[in-house]
Parts: sequence; structure tokens; C-alpha cells
Amino acid sequence: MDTQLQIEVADASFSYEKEQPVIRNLTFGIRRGEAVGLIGANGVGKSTILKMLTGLLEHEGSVRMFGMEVCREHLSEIRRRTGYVFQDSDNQLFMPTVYDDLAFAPRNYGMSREETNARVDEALERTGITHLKHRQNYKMSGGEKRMACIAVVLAMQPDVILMDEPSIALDPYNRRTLIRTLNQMPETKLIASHDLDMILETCGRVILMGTEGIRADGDAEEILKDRKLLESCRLELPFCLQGSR
Amino acid sequence: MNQMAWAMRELQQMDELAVENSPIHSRHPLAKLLVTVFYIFTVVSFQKYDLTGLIPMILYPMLLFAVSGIPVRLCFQKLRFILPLVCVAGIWNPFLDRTVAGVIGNLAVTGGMISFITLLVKGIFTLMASFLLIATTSMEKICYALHMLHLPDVMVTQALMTYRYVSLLLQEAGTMMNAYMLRAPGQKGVHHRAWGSFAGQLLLRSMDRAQELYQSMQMRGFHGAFYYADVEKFHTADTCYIIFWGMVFLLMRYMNLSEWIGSLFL
Repeated sequence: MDTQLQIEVADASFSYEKEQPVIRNLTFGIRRGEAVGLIGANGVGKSTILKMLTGLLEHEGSVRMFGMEVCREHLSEIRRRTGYVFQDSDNQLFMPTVYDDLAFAPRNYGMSREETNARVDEALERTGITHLKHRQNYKMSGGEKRMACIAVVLAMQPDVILMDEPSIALDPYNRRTLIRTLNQMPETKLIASHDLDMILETCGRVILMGTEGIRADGDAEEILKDRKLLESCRLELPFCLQGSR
Repeated sequence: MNQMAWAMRELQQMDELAVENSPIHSRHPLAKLLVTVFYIFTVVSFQKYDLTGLIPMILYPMLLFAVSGIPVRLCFQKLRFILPLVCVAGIWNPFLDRTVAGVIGNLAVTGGMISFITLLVKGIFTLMASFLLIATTSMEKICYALHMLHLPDVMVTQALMTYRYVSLLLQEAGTMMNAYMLRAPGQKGVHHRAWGSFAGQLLLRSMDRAQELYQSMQMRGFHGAFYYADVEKFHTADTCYIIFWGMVFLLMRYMNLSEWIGSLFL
């Protein structure tokens, strides 16, 4: 076992319905500090993979996080070290204010008020939304909610961050802010997204999913420049590369 | 704005009121909860014909409205749905109890009329006190106070999560209503043929969202109980708040202030 690997998936499978597996014999590993993009057409199982890694869905085969098998016994420790940014911000922000949402995880992990406040302030500063600290969640725009979701996860100070479509519904300015924030984050990242331009700017490695499993796993620029490969997986070249066809 | 969106807005309005700044807002939630409960018990304990003794109890809500800065009209706007129910509870009193208790001009005032008005006043006072508690204390802090009173954590967490899920349900219902209205111009409300599928879809979508929300909580270490690390400590002012109002309520309960004030002028 490679001890540098923070995420290890070996022959993992998952089905929502019997006889119709969504994930089949999946195998990959992610090292500490890597930023990996998880791309593929709708329905190939990107979100499913993220949920398998955190034990939100029960899988077959082996899924290990931080050297621990993802099973009931280790879920508490794995989730303490893993941050998950959900696709829908409204499902992630359930407390009355941004502060309450950011403090939720530190409190649950038994931190003191001082420690909680320090983590909240640090997370707000890293995402540039200190001015939203006491804002009520329903008064925020989509972009602000998205940044708040990332801050919520940063307040946990996780080792690994999983993101499901982080740039969805963001205007160009907020999207640029998100990219800048992601590039400043040293944590291990696995980002599931259709925004191939964002993936190109933030990830050094890409895992391309097809209907039958992993079609390619390697350097982001190499994979995202391969038009034939992308089109065979119902994707297109990133917009920034389309002029160079 | 459809009715669901309007209901959602009213809920959000209460959340906004609860985070304002005033001497009442800054009182410890346990102190406010205890005083409110004591007030409600005191009001309810008045005899059914003791209207004059009950009236001075208006002092508590009126003073709180003044100090907290919460508009009284807002309270009555919220209560407009509940007051008819209070009326219905006592509507038979004037018909069942026709003993003449007094005369005002040519009008014979029966015991039933007095008991009906007393019931109405009790309903208004207790609802005002409840409104003031919710308007000056966030749901999380109320649940924290319940937790301090050693109510089972399961119950407290259920109450808090039910409150959060109600807003989720209203959001989904509001979205569905908008989609329906845009495709059913000129129609008022949902056609009865669509009730079944509307309700079914609402349930499924709300459950989906609730599931995602719960997963989000699990990912952040939630394991059945909320932790409230940011609530203020119990101060001397909070103790004085409880003692002061406790004494005032007891005084009003056992001494008819209306009669006493009236006797000063006779």
C-alpha cells in the first residue's frame, strides 16, 4: 500500500438499482496535495464516486481514505478529515447565518469557542467573504452561497476536499474568484465538474469517466487537448482550447 | 408572490427579528423562556369571570414590545390566523351561561359574555407572550434553553430540525407553485385533479432535499445533538429579570390591580 495515497479506490462498484451498476470495477489513487479533476458526461457517476469516498453511499470493493477502509467503524475519522462541497448550496447552508454554518463542524468536533471563532475567521478570510460573517443565508446571492460553502468546508481544516460542480450557476466574476481561491488551497482536491476550463486552470491531473468506467487518467492538459477522446465521452474541448483545433 | 413564498417570507421575518439588538434580545434565552412560561401559566390560572384581574397582565407584553422595539401590529398580523380559533373555543359560552352578572345601560351582561371575553383576552395575552419569545430569541437559542432544562436531546433536536425542515418544505412548495402557475394561467390555486401528484411530488422532493441536508450535517460531524458554544453565560441581570417578572406576575395574580387603582379614585 502506497502511504502517500490519501484516496485509494480498488475494484469499487455501486448500483442504485440491482442489475444496473453505475460504477463498475473502479480503480484509482490520489496522492497528498494533488488537485484532480473528475470529468465525464451526465450520469457516469461523478457525484456517486464522491459520495462513496465519504461513506454516504455503501459500495462494493475497496475504498480507502487516509489508509482507512471507508466503513462504519472509520466514518467519523474520515469525515472529520474530509470536506465535501455539495452541488446545491442550499443543501449545505442550513443554519441561520454564515457564522453559524461555519461554526457547526468545529462545535460538533468539540472545539472551544475561541478555537471555533479562530477557524471561522480564517476560513472567511481565505475565501474573501469576511463581510458576510453575520449575513443570513437566504439573503445571499448564488455566488456568495457558493463561497460560503467552501468556507464551511475550510473551517473544518480538512486534509481532502471533495467538490461537486463548484462553479455551477456562478457569474464570470464569482467564477474567477472561485478559481483563484481553489489555486490558493494546498489541500488535496478532487473536483467533479463539467466546467472543463475551470478544471484546466485548477487541476494538474484529470480522471475522465465514460459509461464503462475510467477512460483516461493523467495530465490534465494532455487529456483536455484530446478532442477525439473527449467527444467519445460526450464532452467537448474546453472553450479556451477550441480556437486551436 | 404565491402563498408558499409568502409563508416563507413570514418565517424569515421572525428569524430577522430574533437577531436584532435590544435589552430584551440580549437576555439569556433560559430567562426569557422561564418568564414566558410563568406568564402563560399565570394568565391561564385566572378565574373565568375575573376579567378585571386579568387586564393588568397586559403590562408584560406591552413593556416588552416597547423595550424590544418590535411593532405590535406585527404581532397581530401573525395572530390573525389563530385568533378565530380562540373565538371558536369560547363561542358557545354566551349561549350556555345566561346568568346575568351585571347591567351596562340597557344591556344585561351575562356570565357567558364575561367568560367568553376572558377566554379571548387570555388567548391574546398568551399568544402575544409566545410571539415575543420567538421574536426576541432565535429557534436555536430556545432549543438551547430547553436543553438546559434537561429536556431529552432527542426532543430538542427534533424540534429544531422540524423548524428547519418546515422552511425547506415551504421552499419546495413555493418553487412548485410558481412552475404550476406559469403553466396554468387564469387558474386560482391548484386544480383538484393535480392535488394528488402535486402532494406526492412535494413529498418526494422534500425528502430528497432533506436527505441531502442530513448528509451535509453528517459530513460535518453531526451525531444527533446540536452543540451551542456561542450562547452567553447567565448574568445577574438575567436572574433579576426572572425574579422581577415573577414577583410582578404573582402580585397581579393575587391582588386585583384594577380594583385597587379604581379604589384610589373613589
